[in-house]
Amino acid sequence: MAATVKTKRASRFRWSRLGGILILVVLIVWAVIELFPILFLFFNSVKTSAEIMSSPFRPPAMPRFMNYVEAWRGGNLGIPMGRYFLNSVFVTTGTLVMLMFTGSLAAYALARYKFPIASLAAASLIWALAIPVHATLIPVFHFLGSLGLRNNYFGLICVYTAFWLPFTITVMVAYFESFPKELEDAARIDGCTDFGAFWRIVLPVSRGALASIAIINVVGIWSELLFAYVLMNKPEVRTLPVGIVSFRGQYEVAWNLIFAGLAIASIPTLLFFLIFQRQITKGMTMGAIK
Amino acid sequence: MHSKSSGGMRAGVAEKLHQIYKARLAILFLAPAFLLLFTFIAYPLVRSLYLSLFKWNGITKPQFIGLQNFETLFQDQSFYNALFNTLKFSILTTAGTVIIGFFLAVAIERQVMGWKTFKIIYFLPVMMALTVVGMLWGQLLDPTFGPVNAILKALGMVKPPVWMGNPRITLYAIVGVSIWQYAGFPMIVFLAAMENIPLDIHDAATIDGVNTWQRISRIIFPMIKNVVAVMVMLQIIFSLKVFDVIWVMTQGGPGESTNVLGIYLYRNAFIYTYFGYGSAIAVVMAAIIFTLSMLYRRFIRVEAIEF
Repeated sequence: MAATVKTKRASRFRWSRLGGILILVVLIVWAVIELFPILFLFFNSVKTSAEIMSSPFRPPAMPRFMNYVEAWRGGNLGIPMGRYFLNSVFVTTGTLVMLMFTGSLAAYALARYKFPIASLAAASLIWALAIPVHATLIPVFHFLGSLGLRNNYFGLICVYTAFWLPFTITVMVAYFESFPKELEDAARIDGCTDFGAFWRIVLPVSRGALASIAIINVVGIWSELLFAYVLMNKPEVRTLPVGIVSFRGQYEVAWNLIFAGLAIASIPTLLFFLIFQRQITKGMTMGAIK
Repeated sequence: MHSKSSGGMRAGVAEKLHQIYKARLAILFLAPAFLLLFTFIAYPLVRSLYLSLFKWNGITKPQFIGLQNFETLFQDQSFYNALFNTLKFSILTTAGTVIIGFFLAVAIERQVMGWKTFKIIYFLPVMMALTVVGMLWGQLLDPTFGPVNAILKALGMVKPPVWMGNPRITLYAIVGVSIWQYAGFPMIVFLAAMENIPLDIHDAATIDGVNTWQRISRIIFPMIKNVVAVMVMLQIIFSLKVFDVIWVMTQGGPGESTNVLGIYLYRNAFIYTYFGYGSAIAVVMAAIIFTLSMLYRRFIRVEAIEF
């Protein structure tokens, strides 16, 4: 084939000019539909309550960042978003650490050591992916209760880790299987134990892939509601989603603070996305296009 | 590798020991993860099955009643209502996100001006917590103060719908919200698949003089059929489990018009404290979703071979 010039895909196939304009219009319309609510959220989070009621469409006259401070502390709603935020950060971080550690260990074993037990384990993971977590809700509630681990960070972290393990391990196994064995062999020749090879060679080199997997899990963990709602009802340990639900039934009270609270809950994951876009989209496609 | 003959027996024993060592190591590596999985997934599942045969309020001793919970369940109008709502929600949301996602991907693949920005904007809502999205749209759709109705009034509608208060349209409103949030997800996946379509095929088509619609229906879509099938199944299974967004917006109301299986389970188990009955609901839910997931596995394997 003659030297292929890397032209943009757009110029390669001719779509009518009218078609091109139509496409752009549709894209813009949809973009507005997608963006407007988010802008609405953030604008309202810095408006006063009166402004929210009277002029929903206009940007805030003078941004009132005090909203965030008051929402953080709890203000007259009695709902301290700050506390919930920290709880969520703690739970999410704890879960990610536990998830990455146990998941990578297990995935490495499944990828490298091919035993009948191993394939049974791998098969059970695929089955686990098919089970909706609702089915475990009631027993987990009672089980943790009897262990005194309800309203306890560790309890929730363990539960979350268990939920996200099947998916994480499955993806990691695929990754480790394609990891070049030569690196570990070289380490072992140098006198490294198997665990040492794993810990000191494989893990650091796999940082990128592990990060991608962690990032994909983050939003799910951060925004999980059902189990947090059921297991963590004491105000001090509530995570953000639970805190947000408690906004319901608070009518005619400080809407600006509610919006600030919602904004506080959203900023981390949105920031995460904006910073780690490429990893996230790569990870998504990795899973779906086998 | 050649010295199999020399020291044959000793080499065999060494191999065996090595195998045992490796097996032990593997089990050690697998232990933490599988301990967690067993404790928090396998065991509770079995216990759910067990509990579904009992009548229990969580405090007094459980009372064995055999399959009575299931009998009640299959005669319960609320259950069928919840099931129907769940299916409706799932199918509509999936259709909406997949179809819109597909066309968005087609449009973006063409790399019109600003496509990178569009991509980001479309995916942003996917990254938002469901509870936040629910509360946000609850406000947007507020009949008196919400922007949506304000716009509708400005466009001339005298009595814009009461989105969250009218039992007939609430579920569809929530479907709309879900589509708003998740259309970007299939879009990203389809986009990646479309970008893998070799340019030669497109060039050949251009030479043959196909128009836009033909290009989409005869070239792009058939080539990513598999991905679309996978995505549809994933979305259906994902949306059958819906709880968060509906709970935050309507808690299953008004009446029972947005009651879905997840909420039905929660209410029976944690509000009425019918833990036995709730377990039965959980079992049925799990059976449905599990079956669909297994079908999905069969489905893609077949497609892969055909392709």
